[in-house]
Amino acid sequence: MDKHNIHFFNFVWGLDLLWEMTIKEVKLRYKNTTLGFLWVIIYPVIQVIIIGYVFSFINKTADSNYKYSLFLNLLIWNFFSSSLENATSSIVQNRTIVKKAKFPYIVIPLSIVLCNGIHLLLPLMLFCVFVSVFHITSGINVLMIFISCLILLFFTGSLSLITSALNVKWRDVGFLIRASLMVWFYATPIIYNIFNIPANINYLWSLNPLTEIVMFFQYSFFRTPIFFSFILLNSLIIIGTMISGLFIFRRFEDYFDDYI
Amino acid sequence: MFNKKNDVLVSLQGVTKKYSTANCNTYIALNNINLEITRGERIGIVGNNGAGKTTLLKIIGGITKPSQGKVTTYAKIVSLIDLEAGFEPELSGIENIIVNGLIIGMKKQEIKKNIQSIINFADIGPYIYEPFYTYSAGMKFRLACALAINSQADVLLFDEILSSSDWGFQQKIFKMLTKTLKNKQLTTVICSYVPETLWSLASKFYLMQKGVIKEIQKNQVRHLAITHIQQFHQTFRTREIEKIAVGMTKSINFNTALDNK
Repeated sequence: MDKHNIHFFNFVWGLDLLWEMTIKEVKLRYKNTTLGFLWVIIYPVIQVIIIGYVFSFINKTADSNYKYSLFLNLLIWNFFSSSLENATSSIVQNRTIVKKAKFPYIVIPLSIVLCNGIHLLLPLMLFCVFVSVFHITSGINVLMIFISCLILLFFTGSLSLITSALNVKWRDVGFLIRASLMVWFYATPIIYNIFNIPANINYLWSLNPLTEIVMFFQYSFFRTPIFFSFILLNSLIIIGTMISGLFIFRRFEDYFDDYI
Repeated sequence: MFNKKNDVLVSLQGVTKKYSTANCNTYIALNNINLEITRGERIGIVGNNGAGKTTLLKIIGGITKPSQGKVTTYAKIVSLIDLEAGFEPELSGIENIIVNGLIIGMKKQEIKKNIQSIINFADIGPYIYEPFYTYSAGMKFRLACALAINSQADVLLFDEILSSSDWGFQQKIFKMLTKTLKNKQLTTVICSYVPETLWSLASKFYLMQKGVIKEIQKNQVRHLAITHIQQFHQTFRTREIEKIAVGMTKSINFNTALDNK
């Protein structure tokens, strides 16, 4: 091809850039810290101790696995919330490189999601070893863990594309996400069990894709049942988010420079 | 890679760029620009602040889209609008070369192949393994410049690169750039509000005023440069500035004499 268009997305270059940006994020996060990577374990452990203690007064019928499933849910939630919050402001925060060069800007929010993904994998692997060694479960389903991680990664990544692109023009998006995350935390079965929700209103949870993801993770580790009636709508929302994420980001990225 | 018929690397046809402010005011940054950049050209664009020079470079580099008109590129363009942007203070020089090389459009293999040339060009010794925040302003500039010049680009876009540093350092960088750009036979577009900085770095000149561009001759740039130096001298009447002004005027007159020969 004689005519070469600079805007043509070079896939290999984009992947290399995404990987290097992710590695940069990982390196920078724990630079000059003493405990470094250990913080990815310490943080959810502290959360489990506090939430578990408080909930022991409220929910006296909690099963023996409650603290373990809470730990797992908090890992998922911490990944989702920190990825979404940081990725939303990522384009604005990286304005110097956006204004400097033309490259696939999609790597900016995605590198943050991937960096958090790496931080999710480490405690998740340790958790796998822990529950297996101490026979907390009857057996983990590695394939389902893998699938659940992929769905979580794709959903968070796609949503981050939408929020990061919109936040360039409308900075309220960042505030809206912070406020929504507060509500979303309680709207997702993190600290409670979905089966405790009254049957007449639990259809509302089918609108929240994180419900499916949490259920998949719980099933992978503890063989808890899955609400199959939720899956269809949850999956449609996830697929819709992925398509609209790519579409919205591509539509806005040519004009990022005009607003930052 | 490029248009073989007439070596046109970038073509702008009727390009207009409008910006809307938060108060819903629209202003025109570029107004019906027609420009062709051919292989090997060294273009210098002079104009006051706010004339539209940076917007033009961003349009050429694909960083932003025109509101009207068409931009066609047949080359790999590297824009150096903010030379040190994207360099992470906490990372070492080597780590920064890899990330920034990818950002400005280099392939990973190209970076690996050229990393020694980049390090040699930057000439900052063992500091290349130290965090970027430990670098002096000069070292930062050298590393950023080394990366840009070794970026395998067909067209390099520079914006006000020499106006932010001190005079002594400007001279050093100026000599280094003049030599390198001539040796490499790169196609360059350099914008500045200081006409004398374009003097040796460009061979074709444009004047930009209120979003409109027009080609000017070298003797017009000479006139602009001398007027600018005189204004500068009158504003800051010190012995040191006088020396610089006399030196620069002599240099411009000397170069003009050479050109006329």
